[in-house]
Amino acid sequence: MKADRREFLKKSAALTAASLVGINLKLDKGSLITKANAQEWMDEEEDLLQVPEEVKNSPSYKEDDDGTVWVRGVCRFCGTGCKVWLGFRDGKPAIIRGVEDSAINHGLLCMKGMLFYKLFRHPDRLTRPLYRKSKKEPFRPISWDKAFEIMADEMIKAIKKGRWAPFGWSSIAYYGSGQCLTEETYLLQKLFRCIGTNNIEGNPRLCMASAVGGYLTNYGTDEPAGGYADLDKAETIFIIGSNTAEAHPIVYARVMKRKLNNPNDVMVINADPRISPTSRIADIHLQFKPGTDLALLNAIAHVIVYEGLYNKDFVNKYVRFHAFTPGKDKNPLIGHEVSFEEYKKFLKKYTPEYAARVCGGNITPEIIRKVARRIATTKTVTMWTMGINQRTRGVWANNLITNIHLLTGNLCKDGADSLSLTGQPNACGGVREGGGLCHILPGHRVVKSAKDRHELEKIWGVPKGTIPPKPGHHTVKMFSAVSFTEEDKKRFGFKDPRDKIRFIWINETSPLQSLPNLRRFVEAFAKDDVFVVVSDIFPTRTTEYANLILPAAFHFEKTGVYGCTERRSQLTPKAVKAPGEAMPEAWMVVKFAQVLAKKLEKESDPRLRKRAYTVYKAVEPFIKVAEEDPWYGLSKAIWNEYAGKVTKGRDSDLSGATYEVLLERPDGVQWPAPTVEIARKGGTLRRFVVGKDPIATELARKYPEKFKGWKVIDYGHLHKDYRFWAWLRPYKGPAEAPDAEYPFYLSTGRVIDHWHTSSMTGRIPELMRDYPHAWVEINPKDAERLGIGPGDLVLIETRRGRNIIPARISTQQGPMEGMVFVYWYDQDKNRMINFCTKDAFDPGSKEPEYKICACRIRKYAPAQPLKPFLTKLEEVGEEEYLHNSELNKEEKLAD
Amino acid sequence: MMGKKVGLIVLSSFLLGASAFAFSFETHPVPPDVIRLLPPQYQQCSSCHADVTPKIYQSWKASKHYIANVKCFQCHGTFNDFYKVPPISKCEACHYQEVKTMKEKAPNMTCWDCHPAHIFEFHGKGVSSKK
Repeated sequence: MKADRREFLKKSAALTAASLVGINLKLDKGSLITKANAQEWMDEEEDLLQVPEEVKNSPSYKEDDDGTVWVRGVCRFCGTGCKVWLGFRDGKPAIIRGVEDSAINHGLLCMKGMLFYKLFRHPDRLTRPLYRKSKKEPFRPISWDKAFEIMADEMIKAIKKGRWAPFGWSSIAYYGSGQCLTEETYLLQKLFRCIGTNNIEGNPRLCMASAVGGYLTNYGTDEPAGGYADLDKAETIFIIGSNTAEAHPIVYARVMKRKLNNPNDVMVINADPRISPTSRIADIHLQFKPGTDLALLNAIAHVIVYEGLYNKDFVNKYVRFHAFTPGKDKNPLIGHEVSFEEYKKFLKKYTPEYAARVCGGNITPEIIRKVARRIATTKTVTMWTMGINQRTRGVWANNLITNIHLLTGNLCKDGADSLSLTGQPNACGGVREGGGLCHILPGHRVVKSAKDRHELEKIWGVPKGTIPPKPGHHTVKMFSAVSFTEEDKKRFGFKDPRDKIRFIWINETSPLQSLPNLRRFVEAFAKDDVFVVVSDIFPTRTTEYANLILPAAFHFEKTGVYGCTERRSQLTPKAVKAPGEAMPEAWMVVKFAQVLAKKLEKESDPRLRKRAYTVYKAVEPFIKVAEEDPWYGLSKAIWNEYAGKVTKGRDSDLSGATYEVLLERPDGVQWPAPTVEIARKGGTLRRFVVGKDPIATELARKYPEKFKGWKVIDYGHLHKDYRFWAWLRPYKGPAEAPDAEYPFYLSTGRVIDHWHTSSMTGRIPELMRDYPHAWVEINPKDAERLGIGPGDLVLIETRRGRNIIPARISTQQGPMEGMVFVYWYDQDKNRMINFCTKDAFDPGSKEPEYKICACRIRKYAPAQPLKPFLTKLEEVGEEEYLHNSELNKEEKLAD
Repeated sequence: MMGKKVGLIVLSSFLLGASAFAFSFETHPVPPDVIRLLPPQYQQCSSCHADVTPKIYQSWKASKHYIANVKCFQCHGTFNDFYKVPPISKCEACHYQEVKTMKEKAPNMTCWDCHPAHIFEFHGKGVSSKK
């Protein structure tokens, strides 16, 4: 390394000296000053501050003596839910700071949170609806009215080419995001179900579905029992499959504070095949071969059970054991009950010695015993994210984590929780609670249940049977119904050509960068047999394949609620004037639905014609307010329907969390919050605990005999015995393990500076400069063996695709031997790692195994300067636009 | 030997920067276009500063800011809005209350008068103890 650095300094000096005499270096003032100062993107004359009166008269608004105006909302750049003050100077967004009295971030922010004000007037913002009939043509601006006309025509055309399946119309789909506001997801899924399809999915399928499966089977209901506050009292913090330091920086700061203030009493254990920045604070780093953690977790349980360390009282009172036998048990969420003895027998094989052999890395029987004993004897919080969820056995891995908490009674008490960290700001609140997936309905209801469907139809005022009775396609299947290759047809049993999806509305997400095994999807979306509508704020790899681009209002330009990891809902009010013609998605839905209803009315097919009424009914309560106040009043009206009517009486009850309460609270409300009184106090911090959770308390009051002496009641709707269930889940490896041909494990993940596909963070100059392109992290021993030096371009090949990415080789951070790790935010086609990842998915959660596949690597070229790449729209004629990638015919994949 | 080379970069770069434009903000000694033309592994701040400003780099590396991933640009800006000594407003994003208290009690002080720059040791109590 040192020799390289000296070499670099030498070269750098030469380069600089050369440039002085004008050789080999073009200095371009434009490129030098890329307007890092967001003020330069704003019109000096324009006042961007637009705050609704109701917000101005609330604690979410204040003015400082120096004239700075502050509006309170929530950050949108991860699932933590940091509360922020957005500051305006001279009518322009100028600063973001953390909210000091927020129970989540206590004033702290990461670099994404403190810099996103730079995006409000970024010159790349989409500001007009853009349309092209064929994807071979340039886009031309059109009016909103025209856009909705085209959308409705194309949707009806697609429906007619499809068929009526048990899940509804087979040929149309909606694909949303864990970044949409709850009001948006709720209204969009309402509209699509009223049009008559359950083909409703969102990117949380790609990140949180396994956690949902885990909680549903362990608790009988989704989402965690405790929250971040438990970190402040935990004695052991066990992090597995999560680079918390980068993916949830402010949660990590809380872990750091707990550890540094109590260096001897608190132990942090980080379990990950890769040494990540999260390891900086860890007392123990458990490094195991990717995919072997199921053996590790069962071995921890083995030690706890066989050494008699389990909490006998808690287990006897509150825990039952379940197993699922395919072919014998009907419902995988229920399985069948087994005795503790059977569970003990099941664990017999998972001795620490066995696990150490399976896991490899630094895992020894002694370290497993040490960790197990520590967890069993101290208050423990376990946190995990995609390392556990993005797996073909993600649900099982989730179960095995919660099993350990159930065995040790590390649940439902201060300082102890089994806490799944959510990746996105509103995956929990919007999609999991708001019904944004093909099999669920809002308010923790499910499509399969006729009772749930009819309850909802009644609230919506639509005829019984409006919602189709079967779940639609999950994400990989949905996009495979677009690509519809022979392989897709075989894999998913698409027998009828009418099953091809021909119309899709993609909202606030970029699946054509984020889906696994991407190539066939990209090829399919380039064709004209699918009409693609994309609503977003910037051009992305997905707008590139759009027919219609709808310019959306950004965060703080519209109003709505986000629900973070810990069941906490928080409001972000309108504060900034949206640029150009950009509008909130909720407004788009209301306008589009009216146009669609009118067109459906004229259809001759009665199945279509009868949908005119349900489509109109879906948005009827919001038509007037959408005209009058699309920026605030519309969202409030939708929230009142969703929280006030749809969640009322459910476990995710938010009926007490009105906009007034949400504007008051510095840190939102945790459900269940069935009354305004409870919501005003912040809702329910500790779920299932009698005396702390209103639902559990009410059950204990109502049935005093049944629950005599119960401190904890698991009221999850699937658990009729009111108890938690631990599951017998065997060790199973990944779908694709390394072999002689592809000898390395490939895994992917985030960096702290970038959010998802970097369409936003890539436009914040500081963040793009810090990480202008992806890297592949390689273990120094592997790099040496293969003759790969720092910065060398590395060819990564899997059975699905190829990438060329510079090597990052470090002794302080990186994967174990035999594994490589790639950051997935880069938009350059040769560095988009999802061309390589595998789309095998968990049979229960349908979440793909992004985290593990097999690859081979070799040096491709020596280290060299690389160009960062972002998808942009460029004017190619008068009022005609194409993406820069569409213009660059040379942009192709490495062959 | 190395110091000499570093000096050359700094000097030549400074001349380049100064001769090309006049900036209203401070200029980073090595201009961005030079850094952009370097191989990727030399583009991040730490790749150079571990050598050219070892004391500063080591202080940061021993700090809470390092553990928490608070990076150079969050205080010093990037090339486009570079500050050798950051304005105190940069601290406010995370430590607003502390800065406010300090401004009230000792208007002419900076954070780093008490909490040495880059290591930022703090003395336990105070506003932060509420957290």
